[in-house]
Amino acid sequence: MKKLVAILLIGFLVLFMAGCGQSDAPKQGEAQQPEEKKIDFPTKPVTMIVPWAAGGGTDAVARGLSKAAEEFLGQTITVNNITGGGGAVGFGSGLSAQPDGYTVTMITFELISLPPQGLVPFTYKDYDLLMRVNMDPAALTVHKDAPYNTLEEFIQYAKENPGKISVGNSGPGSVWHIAAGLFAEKAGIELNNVPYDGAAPAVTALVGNHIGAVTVSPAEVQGQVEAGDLKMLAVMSEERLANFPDVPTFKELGYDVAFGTWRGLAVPKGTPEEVRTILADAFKKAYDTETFQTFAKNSGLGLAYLNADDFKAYLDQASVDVAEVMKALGLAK
Amino acid sequence: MDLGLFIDGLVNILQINTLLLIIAGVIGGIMIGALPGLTATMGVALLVPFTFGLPVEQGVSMLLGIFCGAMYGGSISAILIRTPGTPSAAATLLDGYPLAQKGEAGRALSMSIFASFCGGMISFIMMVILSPQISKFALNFSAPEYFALAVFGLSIIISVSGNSVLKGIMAGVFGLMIASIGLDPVSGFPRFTFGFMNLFEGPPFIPTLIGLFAFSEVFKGVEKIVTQAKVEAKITRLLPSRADIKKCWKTIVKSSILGSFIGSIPGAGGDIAAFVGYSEAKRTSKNPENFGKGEIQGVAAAEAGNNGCTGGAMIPLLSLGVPGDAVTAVLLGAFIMQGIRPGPLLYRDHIDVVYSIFAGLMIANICLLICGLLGIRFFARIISINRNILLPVIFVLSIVGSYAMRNSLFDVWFALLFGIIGYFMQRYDFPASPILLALILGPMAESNLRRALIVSQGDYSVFITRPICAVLLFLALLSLITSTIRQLRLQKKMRQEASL
Amino acid sequence: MKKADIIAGLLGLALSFYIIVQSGKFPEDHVLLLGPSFFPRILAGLMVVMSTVLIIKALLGKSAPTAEKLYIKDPGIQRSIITLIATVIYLLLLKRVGFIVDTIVYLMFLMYLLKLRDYLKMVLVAVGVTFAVYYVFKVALNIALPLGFWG
Repeated sequence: MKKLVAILLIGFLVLFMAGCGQSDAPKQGEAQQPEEKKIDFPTKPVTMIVPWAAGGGTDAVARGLSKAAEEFLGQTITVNNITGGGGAVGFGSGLSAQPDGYTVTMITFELISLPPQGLVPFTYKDYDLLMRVNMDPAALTVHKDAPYNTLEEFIQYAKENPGKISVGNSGPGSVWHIAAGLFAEKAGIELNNVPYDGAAPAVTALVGNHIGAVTVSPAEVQGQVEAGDLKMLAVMSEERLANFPDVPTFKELGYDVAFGTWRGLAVPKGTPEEVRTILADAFKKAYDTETFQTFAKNSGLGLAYLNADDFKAYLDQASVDVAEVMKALGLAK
Repeated sequence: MDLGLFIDGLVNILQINTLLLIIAGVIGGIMIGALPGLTATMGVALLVPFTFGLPVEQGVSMLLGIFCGAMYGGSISAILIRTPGTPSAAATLLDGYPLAQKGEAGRALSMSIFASFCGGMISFIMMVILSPQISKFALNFSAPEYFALAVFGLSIIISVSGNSVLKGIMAGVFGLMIASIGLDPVSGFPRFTFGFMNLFEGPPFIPTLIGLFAFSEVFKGVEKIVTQAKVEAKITRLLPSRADIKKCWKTIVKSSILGSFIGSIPGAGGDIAAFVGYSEAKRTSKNPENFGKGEIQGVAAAEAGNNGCTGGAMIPLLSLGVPGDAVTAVLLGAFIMQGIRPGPLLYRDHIDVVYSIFAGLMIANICLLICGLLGIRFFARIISINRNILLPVIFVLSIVGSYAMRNSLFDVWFALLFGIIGYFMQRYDFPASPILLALILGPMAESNLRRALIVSQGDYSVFITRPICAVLLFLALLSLITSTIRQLRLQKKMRQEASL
Repeated sequence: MKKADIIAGLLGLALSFYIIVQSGKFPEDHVLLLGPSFFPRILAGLMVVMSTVLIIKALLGKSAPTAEKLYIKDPGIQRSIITLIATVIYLLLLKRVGFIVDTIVYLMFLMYLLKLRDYLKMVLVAVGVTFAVYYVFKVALNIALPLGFWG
């Protein structure tokens, strides 16, 4: 008897919930309609998907930017950290959202390094881009006791000892791994790439003098470089950095390497143009606010705004470069 | 250690609004820690934006309050409902839950808060006095040493293997197999991911933990709802009794020091420290057979160990600028956004900030003791709730907790799967803790073994020629052999007692 | 326990077999010989040994004393199975129905299953807990629970 009651209850549960499920299907259709009329966006809170964990660098940028953008958008922006798969899970769920502008995704460098590895079924082309927010170059940094003081000496040493210099990076196929690969290719040297679980452990290993160099962002080694524990030989940016005016760029030393990580905003393909314009304007205004600019300066963020079209052109080029280097490193299929 | 500067720092912290912020941080931390699925890292990360508007000392002290609170908070749910609120509390439940089942939840909670406080204070003292020396020691750790440390940690599986060494090792190996799911740490090749992107970064740790411990226990509770008697917690006192303190103080001191050292090694955190402390306490105990059945020393060792990490993890952060664990990695971000860059220069340029942080950590620990003690009566009441209300609520909390880590329903399904696995393991006498140790240490062992060989270009001698590594590997071997012999003897004795 | 041990051993063997077959498809690292398949294969080997020992011990009658037998007709076991099914349904419907409604119904069902017959208490607890959890996660911790349409 009791069993019967339990089974009946389960049946009830199923029916009840199935009923609820059906009732919301037509409502979703309704919700979409207002956006097709140009002006009325946004009428409800916007979600920003961040494919990296709360408390990390990307999360901080997303939260800083969306907080500033709320004022210009007239709606709250909820940051939703959907992490996993080296960004893949977040990118994927950003793509599967309704293309109505209510879901914005913070895209990062990994969006162009995951596809060549054959790990994900999408590329940046499945997104409509809004803007690029920042770009941080890689920097070649070595231990203070290393026998080389300039990029030239480093390359010289590497040529005499092929494959002997261990270069730490933040994981197989990570942006700093590719940076080292690109550098080795352009300089015609052979390096021993060592993957760590993130940039911080790689820097720690370098401070302990267990490896020969790292190719991570300047912000990630700034403290140790200023303290004199590490020395930065060169950066892979177009121009010298404000924080490190004495460190030359690869380009001025004659190596055509300009490479780094970036973050940007995007919405799923098929989002109406008016909606994209409204979003892009609001985030650009947020980007220009003093609060966000100060925040970026404090956290050593290399602000590098590009509008949607320039961002697209940049990614077209970068994705080809990255795929090539990854092939050379044996990371791409 | 400069006493004058320390007193200045203390004056800085001992202001009413700073104190209130620390207390709020500690209470919030305890709650976050007690809720399954919410960890210290998450708590700190979520509050970092809030601290931007505050002066550095206040903001950082509040975050430290959360850190200490969450480290302790995890033990509350571990003791009361066999659900480690944070991974660091997984060792606490081994003896904490049996104590609560005996009606001694109050005793376990008092010892837990007392040991947490002692762990925090001892590691604070070590941080203030020995920072430069310890950070130099920690820098000697490279891939071979991490590999050796992981192997040493894995040898603990034997001593938490319960009634059968064989089944304990089997559970451990099963855990290591699970741990190898995900992108290969060296080549990036996806292993056993069944095409799920959610598994690229390995099995979701917190959901697995919730499944193995919380879900399995609730399933068992549902099954036995009629036959199992309700447990009442009698609370006669808040502080642990003099007899308990006398019994445990050596364990606490030892565990706290071990915890500080382990915390100071970047990449090794409270979860490892708690297990190392626990196994050390069991090894040196006169009655090792009581461990796992409600031995108060077990609770003391685990909690002193994980809170010992709080100060330890700050050491490399402050003196080298490299985070000691996940929580301090988030703290590092918070510092930088405040315009302060931890590292050797911090001591030169902002010595006042350093001492304020020292003072903040000390005050946070004192607040923790007070809040924890006052909370015991309140926490212990949870266990007196009728089980037909408590169990459904734990179910919902476990589901939400597994979801919260990555906002992912996939993780909830994963937790449920491990709930079923955990239920059968418990039924047939396979211990669950070895899986947990394997999940923490497996990836550490594998990636560092291979990393070491990449750096050494395939030369295996690095494992013998590097002194710390060689010593650790030797200790691991020793511990493996002795604990196997001891555990087998223990199990034989227990079987004889059972048959009498 | 004998039967259980043999089943556990067989499961261990099956798992090891699967891992050995799968790891054959991993790329090899010819330089260091420690590719992605190195670690899993060692584990599979260990598991084969352990499982075999467990089975042999069971066959020799050296298993530990019998645990409770698993009877499908035991009302407790049936309750567990119903709970599991209810949880699966709850999770399947979470995104469609939304956290609040789904959780309230699920909590009430479980409490009923566990023989709570005080209906007022049942409703109060279910509604109270659901909203408390929702607000703690959503408002205080800023974690978005799936809302469905009824938010």
